[in-house]
Amino acid sequence: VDTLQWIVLAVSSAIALVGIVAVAWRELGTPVDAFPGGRSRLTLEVLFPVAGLVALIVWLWIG
Amino acid sequence: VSAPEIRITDHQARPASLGALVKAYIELTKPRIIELLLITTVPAMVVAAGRWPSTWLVVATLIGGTLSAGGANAINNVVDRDIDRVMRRTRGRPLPTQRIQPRPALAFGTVLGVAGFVWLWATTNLLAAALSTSGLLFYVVVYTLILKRSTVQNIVVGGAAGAVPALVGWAAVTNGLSPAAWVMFAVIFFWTPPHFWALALRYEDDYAVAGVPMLPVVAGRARTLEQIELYTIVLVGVSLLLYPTGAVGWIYLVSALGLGMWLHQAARRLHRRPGESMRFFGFSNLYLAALFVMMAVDAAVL
Repeated sequence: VDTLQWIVLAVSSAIALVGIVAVAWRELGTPVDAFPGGRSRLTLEVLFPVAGLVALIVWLWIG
Repeated sequence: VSAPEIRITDHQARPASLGALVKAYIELTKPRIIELLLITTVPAMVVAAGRWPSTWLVVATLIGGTLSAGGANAINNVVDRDIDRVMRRTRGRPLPTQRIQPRPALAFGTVLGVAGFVWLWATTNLLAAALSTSGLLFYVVVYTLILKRSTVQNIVVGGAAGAVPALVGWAAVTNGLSPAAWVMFAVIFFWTPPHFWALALRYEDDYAVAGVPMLPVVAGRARTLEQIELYTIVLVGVSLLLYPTGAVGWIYLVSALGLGMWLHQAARRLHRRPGESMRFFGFSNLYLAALFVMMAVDAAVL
């Protein structure tokens, strides 16, 4: 792995993680109780993409 | 809108000819969505091989992918026929117009799904076949039956189904999955929410009437526009992750950066002009197609 690949890995990981944390932060604040059939707890669904992305990035750093 | 308001003429209720019936069955598979799925399969195969793979393998994988995706879409049409009937965008589909009845449509979808598995297993390998079928099952069971009508995160989690064809393409060539294949999967996964929320902004009233909790219906336009912009940031980051895997080179890196900045600008523009959501929808289609084409070009050239 060359230097440019490490730099791109660091920068792109940071962009993606900052983005997904912002997404999750805002989504968890979304009121859904008012919608018929809507769930009041979104935690698992919101954390699904966060966990997937973190796992992928960790794998890329280790690999 | 209630069901009786839909006008079903005799012509619509029963296809007049064999040609019309065949057309209705093709329509049931949602060919335009299949096109987009296949656009991601071929570049994944080229990147996996590092050059253009055997043309027969490409054709065989596309046939199998088309069968699986067509089956998934046909079954989705059956499950969603009640809401398709009340939405303007979907009320002309074969089931709401009664050109096809639910039972034969379900049988058709099941046959296509099984045929897709058998075909891919016979012509590529078991991993590609299993992945393709898992995409079908995820789309039907997890997205259509469980998530679509119950959570505002429906399209986020459900997006995994649409991302599977990239894995199928990779597996068809290598009989395995590498980190690069999972990055491609992630690109499509994180592209899906902003893409479909743009569509949901356009058809917000339809979704509300049908009782589908899409983000604009539940959280409002402002929150949706904000989420679209945030997801494009995630998408840009994820798209660049393919470079460090070593599967692609500088041609892809520069293209992904340029295309990502362009899409993010489009998202910011949409924030200022929410009425142009279908324009963003079109941009996001172009973005995904161009990104995957550049992957293939890079892999084939370098």
